Amino acid sequence: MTTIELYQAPQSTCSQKVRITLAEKGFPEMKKDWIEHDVDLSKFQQLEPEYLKVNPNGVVPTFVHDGTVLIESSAILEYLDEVFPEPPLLPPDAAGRARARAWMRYIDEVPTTAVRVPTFANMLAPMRFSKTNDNDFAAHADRLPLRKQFYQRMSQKGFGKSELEYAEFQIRQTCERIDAAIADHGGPWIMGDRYTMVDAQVTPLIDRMEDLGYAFLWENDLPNATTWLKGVQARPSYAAAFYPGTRISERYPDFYRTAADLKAERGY
Amino acid sequence: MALELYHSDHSTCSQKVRICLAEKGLDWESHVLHFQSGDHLTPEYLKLNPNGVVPTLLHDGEPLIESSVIVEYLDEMFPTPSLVPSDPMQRGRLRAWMRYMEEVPTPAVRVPSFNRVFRPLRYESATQDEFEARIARMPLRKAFYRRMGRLDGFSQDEMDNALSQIRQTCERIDAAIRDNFGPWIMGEQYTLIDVTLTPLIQRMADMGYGYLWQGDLPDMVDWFDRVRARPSFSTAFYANTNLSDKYGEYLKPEAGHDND
Repeated sequence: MTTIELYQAPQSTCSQKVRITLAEKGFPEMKKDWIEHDVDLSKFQQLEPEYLKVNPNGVVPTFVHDGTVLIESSAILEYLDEVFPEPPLLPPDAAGRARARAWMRYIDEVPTTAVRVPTFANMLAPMRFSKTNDNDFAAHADRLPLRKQFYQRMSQKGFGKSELEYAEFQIRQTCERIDAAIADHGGPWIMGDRYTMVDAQVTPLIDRMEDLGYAFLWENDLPNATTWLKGVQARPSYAAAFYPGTRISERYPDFYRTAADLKAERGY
Repeated sequence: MALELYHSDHSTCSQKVRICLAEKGLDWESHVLHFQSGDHLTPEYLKLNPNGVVPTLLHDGEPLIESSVIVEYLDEMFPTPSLVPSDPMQRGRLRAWMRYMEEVPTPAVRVPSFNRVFRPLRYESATQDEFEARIARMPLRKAFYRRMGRLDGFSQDEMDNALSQIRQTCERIDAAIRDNFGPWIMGEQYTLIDVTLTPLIQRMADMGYGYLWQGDLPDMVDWFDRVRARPSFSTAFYANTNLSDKYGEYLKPEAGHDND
C-alpha cells in the first residue's frame, strides 16, 4: 500500500498539473486515492514557517510519497512516471524523451510565467492587495523565497498594459507551437499519438487562459490547438483534477474579471 | 555516432553542456556562434533551435535543445560515468534542484552579465531602431531586453535582486553539502546539478562577485574549489571562455568591492 499526499490548492495551476498526472496514473480521487493537505493561498499559508520546512520555495504543490517529500511540479510528474510506469507519459526512446523535456522547459519558462500575469492582473492583485499600502506590499514581497521581482513589477494594482500584452504574446506563441506540433506529428496530442506529461503540464495553463476569457488568442485561427484543448478537457483525468471549485472563476466568483472586463475598465 | 555542438565560448548554458561532454569523455565537433552578428537568429539556426538560443546539440543529425535537457540526454545515451542518482526519489530531488537552477540563478546571472558587459558591448553603439529590431527577432526573453533598455541597463533594484538570488543559491549549495555530507551537492555522487551550477558560479566569480559567498559559506567555497579542480572544468573553460579573458575592460571593480 502506497501513501500519496499532496500539499496543494484547488485553483493552483501547478497543483492541477500534478492532479491530472495522478489521475492519468490511476489515482484520480482526492481523499480516496491520495491525501489532500489544503494550503490556503489567500491566507498566505504557503509562507508559514511550518510549510517552508517542507517546501523552502514557499509555493504549492509539495508531494509526499510514503513519507518522503518532493517539490517542483515538473519533477513530481517525472517521478510519478518513473515509480508508476503504466501508462507511460514519456516517449520510450531517449531522443523522444529529450524532445518532450525540451517542451517541458519551454512550458516552465514561457506559458507558466506568462499565465501569472493575467491571473494576478484580472483577479488576484485586486482581490489580495487592493487595500494594502506600499510598505505592507513591499514586506509581503520580501517574505517570498522566489519571485519577489514578479511582485515588485506587479504592484498592488496588477500589471500594466505592456506586461499584459507580452503575456498574451507568450500564450499566443505557446498555442502556435501546440498547433504546429499537432500538425507536424499528426496529433491528436502534442508529441503525436501518445498522450504525454507535456499535455498534462500545459493543460491547466491554457485552461486558465480560457477561464479568464483569453480564448480569442487561439480559437479563431489555430484549429489544431482548439481541438487539442477540447481533447484534453474531455479526458477523465481532467474531470478528476478539475473537481468543482477548482477553476479560478469558481474559486473566487466575487472577484472574477475577464480579459474583456479588464480592458473595458482600464480603457485599453 | 557523431556529436556536434552549436555553442558560444562564453555562454554559461554552452559551458554546462561542455562540462557534461568532458565528464563523459566524449569528442564533439564545434560550431561557434557569434551573437553580435546574430548567428543565433538566422532562419537556418532557428530550424534547429526555434528558441534562438545556444546551445544546440546534434546527435547523428538529430537536434536537441535546452541545456538541462541535453545533459540529461547525454547521461541516458552515455551512461558511464553516471551523473544521475539511481534511486527515483533522489532523481526527483536532482530534478527539483535543476528546476530551481533554471528559475533562479540562471536568469539572475544574466542581469549583471548584461548590465556590465553584453549591453555596453553589443547595444550601446547600435541605434534604438536596431535594438528594437533585434528584440523583434528574438523568440524568447523580449521582456528581459526591454527592461534592460539599450542605454539605461537594469535598475539598481533588479541588480540587487539578482545578487540576492545568487546569494540564496550559494546558501542552498552550502546547506546541501552539509545536509548530504558532501563532497557534491547531492552527496557522494557528482551529478548534473554540480555540472550545471558550475558555470553560473564561475561567471559570478569572474565578474568579481565572489564576496557573495567567500566570507561565510565555507562548504560552498570548498565545493567551488572541487568542481574547478575537475579535469572537465579545464576542458570546458578553454582559453577566452571567461568574460574577463575577452572583455576585461568592461569589468572594472564596482564601488565598494574588490574585484578579486
